[in-house]
Amino acid sequence: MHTPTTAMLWELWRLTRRGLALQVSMSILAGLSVLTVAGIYGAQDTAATLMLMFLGLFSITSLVSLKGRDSRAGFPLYLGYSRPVHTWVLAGVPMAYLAVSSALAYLIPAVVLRTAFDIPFPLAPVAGVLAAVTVVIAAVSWWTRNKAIQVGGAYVVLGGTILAYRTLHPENLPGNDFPPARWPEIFAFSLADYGFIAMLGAAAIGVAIVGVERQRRGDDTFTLRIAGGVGRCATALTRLVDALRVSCPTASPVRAQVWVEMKRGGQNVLAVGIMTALAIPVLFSLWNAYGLGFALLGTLLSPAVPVLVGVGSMLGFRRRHGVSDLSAFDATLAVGTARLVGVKLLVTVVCIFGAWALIATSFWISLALEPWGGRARPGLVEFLGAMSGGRLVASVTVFVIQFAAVVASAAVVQTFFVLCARRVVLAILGVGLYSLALALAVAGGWAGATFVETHAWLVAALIPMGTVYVFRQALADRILTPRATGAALVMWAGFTAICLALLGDSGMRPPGVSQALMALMASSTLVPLAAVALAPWSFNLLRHR
Amino acid sequence: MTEHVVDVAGLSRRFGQKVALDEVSFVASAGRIYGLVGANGAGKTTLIKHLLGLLRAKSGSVRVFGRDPVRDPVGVLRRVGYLSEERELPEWMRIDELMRYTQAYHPSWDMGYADDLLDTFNLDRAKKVKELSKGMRAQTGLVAAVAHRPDLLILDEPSTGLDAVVRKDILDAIIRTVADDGRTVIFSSHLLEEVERMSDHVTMIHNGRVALEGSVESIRDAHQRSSVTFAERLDEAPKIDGALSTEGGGRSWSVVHNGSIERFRQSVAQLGGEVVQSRDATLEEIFIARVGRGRLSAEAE
Repeated sequence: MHTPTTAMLWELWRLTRRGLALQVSMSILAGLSVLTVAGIYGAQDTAATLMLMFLGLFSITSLVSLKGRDSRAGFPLYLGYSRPVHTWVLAGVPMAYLAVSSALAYLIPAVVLRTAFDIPFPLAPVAGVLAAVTVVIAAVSWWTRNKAIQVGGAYVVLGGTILAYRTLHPENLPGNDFPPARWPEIFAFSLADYGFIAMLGAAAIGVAIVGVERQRRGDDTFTLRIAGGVGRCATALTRLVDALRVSCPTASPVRAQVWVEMKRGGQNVLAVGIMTALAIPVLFSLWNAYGLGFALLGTLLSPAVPVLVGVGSMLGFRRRHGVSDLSAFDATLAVGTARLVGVKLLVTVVCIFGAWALIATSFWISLALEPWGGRARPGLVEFLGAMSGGRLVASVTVFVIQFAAVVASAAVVQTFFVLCARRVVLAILGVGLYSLALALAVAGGWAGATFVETHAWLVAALIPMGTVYVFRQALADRILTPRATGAALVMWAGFTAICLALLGDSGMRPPGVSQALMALMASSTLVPLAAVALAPWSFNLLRHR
Repeated sequence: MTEHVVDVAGLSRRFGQKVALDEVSFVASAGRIYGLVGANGAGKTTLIKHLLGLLRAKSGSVRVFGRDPVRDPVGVLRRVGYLSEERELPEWMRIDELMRYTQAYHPSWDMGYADDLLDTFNLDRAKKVKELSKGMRAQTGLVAAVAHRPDLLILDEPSTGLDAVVRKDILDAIIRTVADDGRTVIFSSHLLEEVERMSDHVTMIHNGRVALEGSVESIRDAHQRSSVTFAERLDEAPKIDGALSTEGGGRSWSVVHNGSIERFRQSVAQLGGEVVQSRDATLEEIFIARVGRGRLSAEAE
């Protein structure tokens, strides 16, 4: 390391190498398995299109591996401010590194899949676009520490880029017709296109350097010069916000914690729900007017946004210099672990459902735009009308409980990730690879029914054993009381009864289903029960290491 | 039999190959101030984390108010006030929100006392934690730690990096806490003069072990610093009975030692020297003598 640049490149490599390796290997594995299975079922074109989108989106996450080192907004490598290097080196080197790494994160899997399946995954054009997009996103999130300006900037850049591309290449907009056979034609970029991409990247790097220089000198604060009527409006708005401020209840720890969880993450989930609900009519309009496929995709994926926001922040881990942990302030609150975790999960689930309610309402209203030739709304009414009131309530209840169990499981994974990240990654990779091999073996007809059934029996046996184990541990550590355990068991019995009633009502009959699969289904009803003990137990391991 | 506020017995803890605590025993009684001293990485914070239940005792036992802080966190933490070295507080909260939030967890919260302290420290209640300076953050954390009038106040390096004014605020809070009948304070610090001035009892931790403990008076009584002169120049430090560290050169040497002063005088005389002056050693001198470089090299030999 003879120069600051090589030292910085080494630092960036050390910070991102694991993420990159994981990203490339997961992309290759996902591509190989999806395209193999799709080939068996004759749906390789659709699968290849999805893989192209996946690889493109996934490659940009190399940015996250750097950004996620710290919760501080703005330039993530701020510890380098005191180093004797120019700001253009400090900001330019990481941007160039990220551009290359995101391009490689796409290129390596694309080359492998192109070779293995003879599908014309575009190389240089998409790699170039991804490098530019990465640099642009980095610039938007690095140039200021003001999050509102970051979000506004992101929208401006995204809209501007789509508009520019649409103006330059109206014939190439993919819309809904995007088969691999057309890729060479769609991605036949001219030198002018590459010039545009390079200009975009260079401009982004320039903006980022200016922004980082400002932060480095400590003058990042944006002050709006407001006077006269605008100033009075701003003052009134501030007073309104203060008037709407809900003060922390002091009557009980639970209420105080609900207040904190709402402020810390819940209100963000609801805000995202409102923003998404407002965006849905716009997306529908774009799809209606221009047939833009991404607009429809955006609408269909929108319910995932509040889930990602809510689940990502639910446990309130603090992140500093690349290390996540429970803060001593949270860990020393005079409240039991089960209650601490229970409130966090409850607030998250309730807020996600609140956001979904807003999104569903917006979706319903937007159906008035008749995006599917006017068939969607009557179809939905007919589907819901066919269900009895009781069945509808039962279905919603089962869904809510299962969703809460999924959120609790995510909390468990997050907690174990903080406790022992490497082992968790290895375990997830191991289970994923094994499941993949099993799925491929079944799809290819290499695995017999007995082999599959043995696995089903094994998992069916492991779930109750695991449930008993975590309950025993939680009771032994006094995380759960016998009374709480009894209540959980009663609720689980009710949940199982509803599931069975729904199964019987739907006319599903076991004849075609093997005993092993039946055992697995019965056993899997224990998962929500296991989550009741597993979430606080795992959190307790973190709280009292 | 009087129940101890804190009772740690045979506590050991490893982090990988590093032994953080090795068979540590520590007892704290009500109404006294306990100072924990030791070099960086000696094990002070690890011990404090065990008291708070942030670390589970892998071997040995930890009892606070007769309870296990891991199995009964509510019962213990409700009666404890804690200020960490890093003063970890939720950055997004305003000071008034932090006070109300902390109040919800402590039924014994004294709002008048909290208000008094906030006024004394001149803290703006509408300010967010992230907008506070290091000193103001320490003061805010201190109010949150003491306003419920805890039976046990634990302060981990509370004065580190703070100016003299804020340090005095913290020391005053310790005094006020103990002035309340029967309350106990455990605090760790690098500032030995501060520990010496404030503590009734000092525990010195070195390499995860309790190197020395006792009341400040008994420790100072048992250690002297003596100036010694010899008739002839000495090329290396003289080996005197009871000496913990020896500094100087030639004919004049300065020795921190423990044990009987008479025995020390005899030992010096046998080596051809005489004790010119003796006084009680300060805690800092004792600390350096016991865990400083001179001691380490002596141990290595």
